Amino acid sequence: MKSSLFVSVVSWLDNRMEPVGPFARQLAQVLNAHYDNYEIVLVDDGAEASISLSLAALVREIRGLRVIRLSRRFGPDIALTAGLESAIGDFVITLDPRTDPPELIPQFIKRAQLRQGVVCGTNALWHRAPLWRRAGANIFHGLGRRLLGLELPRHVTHFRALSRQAVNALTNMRDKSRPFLSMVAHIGFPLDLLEYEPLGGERTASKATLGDELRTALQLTVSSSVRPLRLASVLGLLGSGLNVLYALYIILIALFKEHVAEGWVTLSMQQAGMFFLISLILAVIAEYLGQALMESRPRPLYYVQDELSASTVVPMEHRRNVVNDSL
Amino acid sequence: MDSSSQPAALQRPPPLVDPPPQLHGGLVEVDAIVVGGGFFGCSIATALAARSKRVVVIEREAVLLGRASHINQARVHGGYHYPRSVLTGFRSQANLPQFTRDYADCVSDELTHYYAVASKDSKVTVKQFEAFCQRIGAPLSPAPAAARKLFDSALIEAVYTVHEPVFDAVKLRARMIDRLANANVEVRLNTSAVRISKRADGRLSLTIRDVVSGEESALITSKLFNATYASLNELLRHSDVPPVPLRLELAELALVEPPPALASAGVTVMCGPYFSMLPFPSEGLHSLSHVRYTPHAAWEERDTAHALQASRHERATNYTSMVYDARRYLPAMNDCRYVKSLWELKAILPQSEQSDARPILFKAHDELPGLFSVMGGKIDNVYDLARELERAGLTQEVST
Repeated sequence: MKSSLFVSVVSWLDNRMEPVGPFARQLAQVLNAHYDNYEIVLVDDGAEASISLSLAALVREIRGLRVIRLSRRFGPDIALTAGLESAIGDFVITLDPRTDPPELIPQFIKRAQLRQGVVCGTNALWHRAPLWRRAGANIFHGLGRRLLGLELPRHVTHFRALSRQAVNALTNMRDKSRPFLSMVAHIGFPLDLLEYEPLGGERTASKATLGDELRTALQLTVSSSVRPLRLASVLGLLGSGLNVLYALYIILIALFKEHVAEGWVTLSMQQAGMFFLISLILAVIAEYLGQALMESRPRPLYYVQDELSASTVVPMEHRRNVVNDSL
Repeated sequence: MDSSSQPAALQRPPPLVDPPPQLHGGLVEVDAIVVGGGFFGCSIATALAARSKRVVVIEREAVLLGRASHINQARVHGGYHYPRSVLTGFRSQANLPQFTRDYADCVSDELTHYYAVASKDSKVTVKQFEAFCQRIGAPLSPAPAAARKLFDSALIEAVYTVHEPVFDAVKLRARMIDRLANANVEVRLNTSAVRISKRADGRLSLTIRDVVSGEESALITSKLFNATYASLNELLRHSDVPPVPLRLELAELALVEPPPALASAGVTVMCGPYFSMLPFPSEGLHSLSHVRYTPHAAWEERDTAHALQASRHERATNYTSMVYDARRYLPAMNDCRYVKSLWELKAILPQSEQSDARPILFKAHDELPGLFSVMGGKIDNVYDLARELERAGLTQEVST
């Protein structure tokens, strides 16, 4: 007995992936078996021309599939956002074609129906990730929780289910930098976790490099918490305070001590200390300034180049002769 | 009729002034034939009849204006719909007053028509749209706050009130029948055009078949207009004339009971997402169409099987998808109720695919001089066609 829910599935395609045909067919199969109404939205995130062309054939083959082609590569988070903003279903599933098994979609949907919020998949094979990744994540989350009050769920993947309300709230947020988790946490939707085993066994969920992870960590930190800024302010104050004390000390020495050294030691020590603090503060402020600058620019988050759906797909190479226009 | 080379005794007596049609293999001469009894075909016929004595309209169905002329959004275009083509917009705005004058009893102007510009993915910005409307002289004013509130403020950037009425297709048909009768145009319903061939004297011979009885006969003429819209190439193919490049789409027009808040209103949302819900006067319902979900399949007109493909194509309504998307922009659509769907083949000129331009096709076929193919996608653009006919000298010949 098929459910009458309208389910949208959003995924993305970039150059790092294999051809997405089998994945799309499997999606269609699972959706067709469980739901009366569904759509599959594939976001072409700057994939090569050859891959993009094959999508045209796929759109004609698979009912309910449409492709949104972005003008260049924007990354998975923004690509998924583009898909979310276009999806029309009661529930929207997002997933990574390389690692997330489509058969689990009904499970995710059922869970999302319970509290009409967000369901995030978590990686059951996390323990198989390389040491540096596990160690890095543990350090980040540990420090984050203690210093910044960051309480983010661990080992979260791109496999998610969102209710229509959650999708509307997320897409209405005009934030330019959009770490998904911190936005969900900010809105305060019921968030459920669903553990599963990603495909590929040994290769666990993430192919992100160390650079990617560091960038994500930084983005999560800055968009989730303003404590670093406060910390910088505290340090600044502390530094200034110490400097005041130090200045007092110098005055006392100057008044009461004979044979005061030329003064260059204290001068250089003070200068070194001050510059250290100043540069630390500047670094933190620059980070926030950068984000504030991005927020204030009225640029759209992404640009859609075109959209393909079954009946609009006509191979570009078959341009016909222009017919004489009598007007 | 001809052959003055025969001996006088064997010559047939001169024909009566207006010989009655002969259905049993006899040949009938006429001044002009229009194949296709849609709005365009009938309009051409009345224009021709002003100057020519004997004009015949050949129509396959049992009624005139029953196919694409009936199954469309019934919009009397004011140009707003094509913001990226100044020519199309300008011509629409220019033709609108004449159409509403000529067909005053068919045009329904009581509706309040709102155009909403989407904020994301729109191919035209609010400023561009306003500048465009000003340029083509189309009246545009911001919609009242109550109307504005009906739309989702995050997804819709601006809402305007426009002047773009709809027409009643059934009344239009009745009006056209009157016009044809007044112009003394002969109409043959349930008659299909089989093929055209060239005669030795240079005129064209059109073989026609009665759909009911299967009997064939022929008409001779010097001017033949092929105004069969999506079936344009069917007649050409059977006449060994190269087909006109066309794109065909199987289109679904959903008929709905509108939400109470929009009962006497029309809404057009554009321009990336593109859907409209407009009154459909001939059935007392509203029509709903969506740029993504109205087309069900598309074909490049290249070989013979398209009409067949279209008739065999699965016709499962996309209404659910239409409404699911529409209600994101217009939450009131939740209260919309589906009644039924009308299906029709839509013909599009390939050159119009990438732009907003909607020219009328008017093509003379060199292989069969005197044969013209005419195709237009917008009913109210017919006046441009009339001017073209005059310019081509086609409406100035007098019959002998």
